[in-house]
Amino acid sequence: MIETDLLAEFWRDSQVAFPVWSWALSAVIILSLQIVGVRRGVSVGAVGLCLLGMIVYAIWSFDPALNESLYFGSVNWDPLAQSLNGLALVISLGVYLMSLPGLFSDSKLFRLNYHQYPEFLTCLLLSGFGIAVAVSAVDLTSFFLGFEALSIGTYAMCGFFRSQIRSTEAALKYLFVGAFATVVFLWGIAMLYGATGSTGYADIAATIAVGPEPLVLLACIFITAGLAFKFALIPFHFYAPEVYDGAPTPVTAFMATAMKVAVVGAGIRLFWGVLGDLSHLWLPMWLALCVLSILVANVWALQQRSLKKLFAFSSISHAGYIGLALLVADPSGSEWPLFPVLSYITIYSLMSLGLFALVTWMENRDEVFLIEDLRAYARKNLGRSLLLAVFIAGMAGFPPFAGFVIKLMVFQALIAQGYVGVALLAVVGSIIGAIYYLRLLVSIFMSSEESGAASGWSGMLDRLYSIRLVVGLTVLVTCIGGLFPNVFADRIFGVLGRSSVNTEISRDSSE
Amino acid sequence: MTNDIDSIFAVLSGVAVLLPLLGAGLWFWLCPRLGEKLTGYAASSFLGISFLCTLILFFKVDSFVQLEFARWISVGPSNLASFSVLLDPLSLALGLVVTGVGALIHIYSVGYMHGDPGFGRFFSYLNLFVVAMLILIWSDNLLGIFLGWEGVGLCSYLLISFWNKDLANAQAGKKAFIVNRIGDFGFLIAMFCLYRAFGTLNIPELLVLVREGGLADWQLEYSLWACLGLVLGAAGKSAQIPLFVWLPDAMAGPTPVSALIHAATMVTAGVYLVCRLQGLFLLHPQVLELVAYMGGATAFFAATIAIFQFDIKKVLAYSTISQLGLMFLAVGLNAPVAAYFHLITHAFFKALLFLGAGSVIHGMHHEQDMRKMGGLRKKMPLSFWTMTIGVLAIAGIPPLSGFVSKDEILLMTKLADRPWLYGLGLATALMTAFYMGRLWFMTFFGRTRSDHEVHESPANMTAVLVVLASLSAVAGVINWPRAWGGSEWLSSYFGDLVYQGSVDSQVSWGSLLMKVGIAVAGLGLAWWKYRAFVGGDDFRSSSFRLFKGKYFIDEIYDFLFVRNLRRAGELCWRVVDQGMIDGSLHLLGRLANSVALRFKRLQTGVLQAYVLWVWIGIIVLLFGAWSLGS
Amino acid sequence: MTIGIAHLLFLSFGIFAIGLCGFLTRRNALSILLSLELMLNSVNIALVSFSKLHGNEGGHIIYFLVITVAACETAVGLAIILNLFRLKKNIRVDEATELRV
Repeated sequence: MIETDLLAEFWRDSQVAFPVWSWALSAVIILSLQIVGVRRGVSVGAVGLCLLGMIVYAIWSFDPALNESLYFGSVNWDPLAQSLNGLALVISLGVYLMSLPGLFSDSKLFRLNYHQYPEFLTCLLLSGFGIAVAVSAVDLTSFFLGFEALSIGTYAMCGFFRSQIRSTEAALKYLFVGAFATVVFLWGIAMLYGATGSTGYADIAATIAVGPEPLVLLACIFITAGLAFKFALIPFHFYAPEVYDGAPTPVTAFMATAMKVAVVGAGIRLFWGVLGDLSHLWLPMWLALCVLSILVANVWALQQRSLKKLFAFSSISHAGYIGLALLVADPSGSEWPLFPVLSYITIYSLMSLGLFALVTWMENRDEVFLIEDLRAYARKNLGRSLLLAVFIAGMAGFPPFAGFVIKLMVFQALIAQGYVGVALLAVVGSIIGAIYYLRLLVSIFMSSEESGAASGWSGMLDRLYSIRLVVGLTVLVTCIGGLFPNVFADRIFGVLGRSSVNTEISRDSSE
Repeated sequence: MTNDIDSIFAVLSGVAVLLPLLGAGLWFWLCPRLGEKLTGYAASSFLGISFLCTLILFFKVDSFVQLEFARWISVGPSNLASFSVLLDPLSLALGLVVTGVGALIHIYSVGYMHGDPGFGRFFSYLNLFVVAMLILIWSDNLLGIFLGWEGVGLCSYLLISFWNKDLANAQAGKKAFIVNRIGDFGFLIAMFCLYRAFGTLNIPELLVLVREGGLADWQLEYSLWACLGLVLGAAGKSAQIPLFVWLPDAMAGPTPVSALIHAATMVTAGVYLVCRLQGLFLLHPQVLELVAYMGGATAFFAATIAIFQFDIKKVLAYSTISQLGLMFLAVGLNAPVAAYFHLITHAFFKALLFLGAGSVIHGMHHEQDMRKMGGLRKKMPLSFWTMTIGVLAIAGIPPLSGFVSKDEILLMTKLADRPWLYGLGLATALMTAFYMGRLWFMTFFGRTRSDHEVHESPANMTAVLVVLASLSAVAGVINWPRAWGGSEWLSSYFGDLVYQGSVDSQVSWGSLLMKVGIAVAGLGLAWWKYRAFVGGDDFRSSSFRLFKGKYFIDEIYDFLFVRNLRRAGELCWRVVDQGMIDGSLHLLGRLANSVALRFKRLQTGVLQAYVLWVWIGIIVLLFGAWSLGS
Repeated sequence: MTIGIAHLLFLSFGIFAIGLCGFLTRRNALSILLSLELMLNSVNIALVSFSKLHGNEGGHIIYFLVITVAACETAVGLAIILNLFRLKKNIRVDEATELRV
């Protein structure tokens, strides 16, 4: 009798949670297609269809009122999870489109490595599954599982160009440093469990405030450090520039965006849902890490030579801003707590997706790898230079672009919650950041001599226009988001920001 | 039902604005692919469509339509500015002039700019100008107007220095831009004050607030400053004293540009602005008085300078300033209909004159000095006859349009009981007739003083001249005075949209005769002096030095402001910029770079070092938390 | 002597410390992988002992997951190390500094 009840509940939950496990289902489908031995193109096409179908389903099934605890309290399917899952889908589709043209390249490098392209896409889908689990997890087990699925898939993707020493080295570094971060996370999990004796967020939150002090403190530190590592906040960021540089650029785009999406989802639930009562413990640490990242990463970037490393530091400083936005997502602090962080992560993800798509494009068309290679790039190709300028201006947060609006939202939220000093420091950081962004623009548009291209891979021509599609759409987002911020604000987040999403509600339902 | 009509209006006005905008983006790079002819006529046809849309709007809109396309800036609950149009007689009448004359000048330019390497660029700028001008006149809020205001300023700058290989042209563009900035500063101040006082920048709302009355003292004070700021802005854009110095230099641009921007449309923006906000100005009659005297003085001074110019375009430029002065005179004396009427007729005949002059210049292979012309009557018959109509119109020979509109302004001045201003107006009329006659005789009569092979301009240019000439001849009918059997259609069209100070339908044949006499006398004087002009200097006496030197206004400004400003700027640059700011920035930059270098050395590339950093980070967090806790 | 939670935690910390030292000092990628396993298993000990302390099975569940994940990570890691060896003919991590520039 009990078994049938459990089965019925499982069946019902599975219907609601279809967007989560459809990722894994698609991965299994692709793998089966590979085993059956269909042509590579068929399985690659199937991935695109799966992703599109999932996006359509995610949009169709989006329900801001939905807030259900599923699978015996291990995941919570609510607007936060739905929207971040949707974002992860969009990012994955973008990465898919960015990497797709390589399949049709004649160059030796691509012919050699793209034999495994369906497997690469399987890893992409499984990483996406990890994101979906991580952003909806309300139990330590599912949280851990989600992050590991995401990370292991990404490790494998980093080494996709296995004939390239750079790609392999990036994978090696990411794997080892990331595995260490897994240990850190695990310590956090163990401490939380040790302090409270339960793994469900709701139960932990109910008892943690009275747990033994040292264990709770250690738990806070390890969880903060683990999230900071995944976020690549300074000083946990060391792997980021090199891994971003060595990995194939579509994978770089995935790491720079998808990882942050997962951390935002998990971070909101962990920080404000589980450790909300202990904010005096973790908040100063997190604040310090974010401010440090914003300030130091922007200085650090000044001496970089590689373009992707520069953008890696840019993404580190952006992680600092997202971290600050996470910090002001205090459910008791404002009316729409999630509004700044969700707008920031969405706009930032789409912007850097476009930026890295453009970098892919430039790498392969013009062999641009180092910052020197961009010298007088505007003479070589005005169109791409202008697109790059839009993205750079968006990343730097110059006014008519979306990057400005989201930064402004974060600053406003910070000031509204009384973190005036922090807001000032963040502004200073973005001014320092403007230096290297402007330097890039100057070298693109105003320097006179052209440079010879550096060595690297090339030869992936965008015959399918898929990279251009990604770049074009994200440029539109960058511009429209800046000119008409209300379009995004009202239509996309209005619903979401108001339904204050945190474990408050699910705590009631599971008790 | 109303919604249907509104949406039709929205489509029409949207097309009217967006089509040239599309064009501005296209011609730039389409020109090398399509060729000159196709590009030019396509650009003209875009404007033609825009004109047709405006025409339909003109016939269909009764009195007042306000359409919002998109929100632009929302501040809290209120809407600070939106992309929206306000269609009423004021904006539609000017819209017709802008698109109509604009289309004609586009067609003309196809011939005039033939063979220029920047052909596509030119048409892009021209289309962009029309877009900005339409935004200026159709916007329903001051911020939108300011957007157009800056847009036309930008296009004017780009077009003045269109042939930017020549340093003089570039500097003329710069001068126009900088002088306009002073005006824009006034405009900005006005916007700030208005927003502070009334909490809105929306013009209909603003005017309703003003009309309701009951304003507090502080609001009145703010609105006074706003009015003064607006006058400064209008003076800058419409080249009035003290900011008129840029317009003569603006003649460095191609002649169609001078005709479109610096005669027919952009420079009238100031008049439009004051008419549009007349309700606000009525709060402060003393400001209107100031406007009237400013206009009168400008009209007179510019006319005195025009007499002594030899460059055919400079004469027309000063004439434009002078005519704009007359318009401001009318506006200041609460006769906006008269000002608007003159604005429209002036747009026709001054565009005609400029284009005629352009035709002459074109025929003379870019020779602009009238001393080197002469005797062109036979060689360029069409240009001659059309120019003749323009000259007679501006000189004030009945029944051409210029006579009717100028007469109305003079009549208003007389009725307003300002003998000084009336005198200035009459003197201006006399001088206008004289210098236009001088231009006419020097250019077309006498013997040929140049060794160029002169040829008549191509058909598309002369066709435009003919159209404009017929418009200048008959445009007087739109506000033909009742006293002479007319209907005063423009007055009734505006209705009570604007406030008319004093209206008198009495016809005084004596004063009419006097004005005709003045015009004939001016032309006669010119005939007497220039019927057989042989070249050289016509006013040799040194007592004319003041006029020839244009009152040395440029030199005075240079001495008073430009040089001192430059000196102050240099001081700032040396001490503040180079010493303090650059010094500290260089220091900061060097510091940042060296710090960054040190940071970079931490990137050893060994992954265990990175793991160690993670561990160090955790330890630091631990110590931090521990020290915070205890 | 009864073995309490403190003893078990000390054991797990000790193993973690050994693993960390190995992780930071060894040059051979395979040894580093082994040290990683050691650290993961030290967490497992902590988890299981907490589970015993609280008398519920939450720790055990995580323990099983950790084992599985560790196996996956090792698999991917071995593949990468193998690939590294194919390209460079050695698996010394201190020589894998191509990306430093």
